Amino acid sequence: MGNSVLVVDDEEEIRAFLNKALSRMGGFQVELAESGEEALHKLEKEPFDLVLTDLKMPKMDGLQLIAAIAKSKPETLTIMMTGHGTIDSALEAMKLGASDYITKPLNLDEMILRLRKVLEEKQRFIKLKDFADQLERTNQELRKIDSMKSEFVSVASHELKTPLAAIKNAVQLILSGKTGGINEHQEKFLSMAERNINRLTNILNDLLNLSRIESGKVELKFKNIVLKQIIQLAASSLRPHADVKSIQIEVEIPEWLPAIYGDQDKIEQILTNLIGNAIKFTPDGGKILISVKPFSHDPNGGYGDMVAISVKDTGIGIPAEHLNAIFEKFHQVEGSLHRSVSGTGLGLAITKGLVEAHQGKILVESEVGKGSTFTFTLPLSKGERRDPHFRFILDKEFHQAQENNAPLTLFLIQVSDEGGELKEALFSKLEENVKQCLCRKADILLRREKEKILAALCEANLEGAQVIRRRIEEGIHKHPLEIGEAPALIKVGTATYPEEALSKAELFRLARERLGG
Amino acid sequence: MNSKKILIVDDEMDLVETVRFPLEMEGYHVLVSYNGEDALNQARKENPDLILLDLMLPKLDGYKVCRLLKFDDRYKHIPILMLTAKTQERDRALGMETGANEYITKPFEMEDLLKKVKAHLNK
Repeated sequence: MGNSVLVVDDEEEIRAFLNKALSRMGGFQVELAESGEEALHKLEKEPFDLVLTDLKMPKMDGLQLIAAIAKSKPETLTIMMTGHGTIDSALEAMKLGASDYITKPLNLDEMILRLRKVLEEKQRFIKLKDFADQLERTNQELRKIDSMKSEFVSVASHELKTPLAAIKNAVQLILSGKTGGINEHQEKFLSMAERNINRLTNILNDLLNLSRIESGKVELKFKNIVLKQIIQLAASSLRPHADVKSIQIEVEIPEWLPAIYGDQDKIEQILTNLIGNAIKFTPDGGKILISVKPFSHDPNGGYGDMVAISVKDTGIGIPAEHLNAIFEKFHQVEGSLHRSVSGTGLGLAITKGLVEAHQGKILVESEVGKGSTFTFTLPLSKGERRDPHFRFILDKEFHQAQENNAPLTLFLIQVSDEGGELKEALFSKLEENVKQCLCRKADILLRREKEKILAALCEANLEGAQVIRRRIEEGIHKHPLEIGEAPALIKVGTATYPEEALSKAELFRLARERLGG
Repeated sequence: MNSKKILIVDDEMDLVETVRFPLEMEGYHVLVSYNGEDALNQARKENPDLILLDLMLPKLDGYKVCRLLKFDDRYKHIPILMLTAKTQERDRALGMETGANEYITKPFEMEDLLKKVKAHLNK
């Protein structure tokens, strides 16, 4: 069955012509109306797919009709027929909601083609909309099922814990000897039962944690925290386990590490999980290194708005084919050592969830037989990012540039009276190819735009610092820095210093370490 | 032998038995309630030296039992140790807010529980 078309024209001849042409040649179901009023009346009684209307009619004209249809029957398509020189009206009609316009004198083939095209488009639109609606419904259903799943896991875990508590108490009662003596075999097997009750409890707790993380119900208490303390805490709490296997735990934390913004307990949990895993999968006598570096997820960002924390071990490593799946729930990597290692299979899924709850990311690099490195990022405290007291812009490729013998300029924008002393400290060990510049004013810096800036050390509220900062933020530093042999030199990591943490002596020491080393 | 009175409140009878036994071995006099309402009545009538209180209870939940006792000058001195499967930080905070002296999550270590009971009774 053809689409239904309502033809509206005040001239009877045209109506008759269109009736014949559209029904015979186009295969449409045609209905006729001699005025806008009659058309609206007919539209009230039955729906039409399309209304083809003349512009100039007594009383209600084509534009008024199109506006009325757009308001009362928005699902009905409209096409305007206009004479020569009335292109403005045609455009007006489109603005009011018409799908197309046709100019007189009418070319029948063209008209039918246009009608069909408009109708097909409408069909496509309807199909797409149905599809989108269906997707939305499915999506809602899935979300509901997902939240039911989380709810189920949560309730089931609680329900399982109560009987588990009774079993545990009963076993511990017999083991304690309070119910009478037991023999060696009974003790062995009851201890086995107790160990597995504890394991089951750990799995239940991990499941609960994970379901809270997955349903977004994890409660994070964000505040500014000192990462150094947490890392040392986590490392020292696990040292006894490492000592048993003669594994060395080393911690490398830069002095200049700024405060980060996160939940102290959760970050400790992340670290404990990763260090605990490292101990588990590292053979006796191995080494674990925990290190921290400034980081930015934005590849063009000169500012480090994050820190990256790595836990590196000399363990058995993870086969490449397992690397992607390792953060999934209950994923097990088969391996000789793993058999003797017990876990809930949920630790890394929880770790990942906790990192992501901090807007961070986690990744793993590994080589079988050599070891694995887990690295996760955490945001710096907002205050540190926005308004640092000191900002040290460092060049990642400093050593590379030195190797290439590229001339570089180091800017030191100085405030204090100890300029000479600081300069001495900074430059004493620099290579010959690194030029030095000590300036007090921003305009000197501006005139030096053509030079490559290796690093700038300055107080954040200074004019010069603002110039550098603005250049980095606006991406302008690409201009002075990408010309020449060593491009993109200022793609740097940055570090911020909390005001209280940086004494002058410390600053000198840092400068020596960073630039002179 | 001491004859300190301990009230165990839990609707899980098996769990009650596994806690009652070692407490009686230690020489305590143990009373039991299987719901919140009975727990409140027994506490008021018997004036126990310590209460082990589950949170999810029929009739009156553990939070309410705890709050009602801790608001009453005659009973607020009784140490209340909450025993619950609820592990969330928020539940713990709520438990402590109602005036509980300890918040112990199930399953627990029997030795820990006995130590805590002893510590609160000797205060």
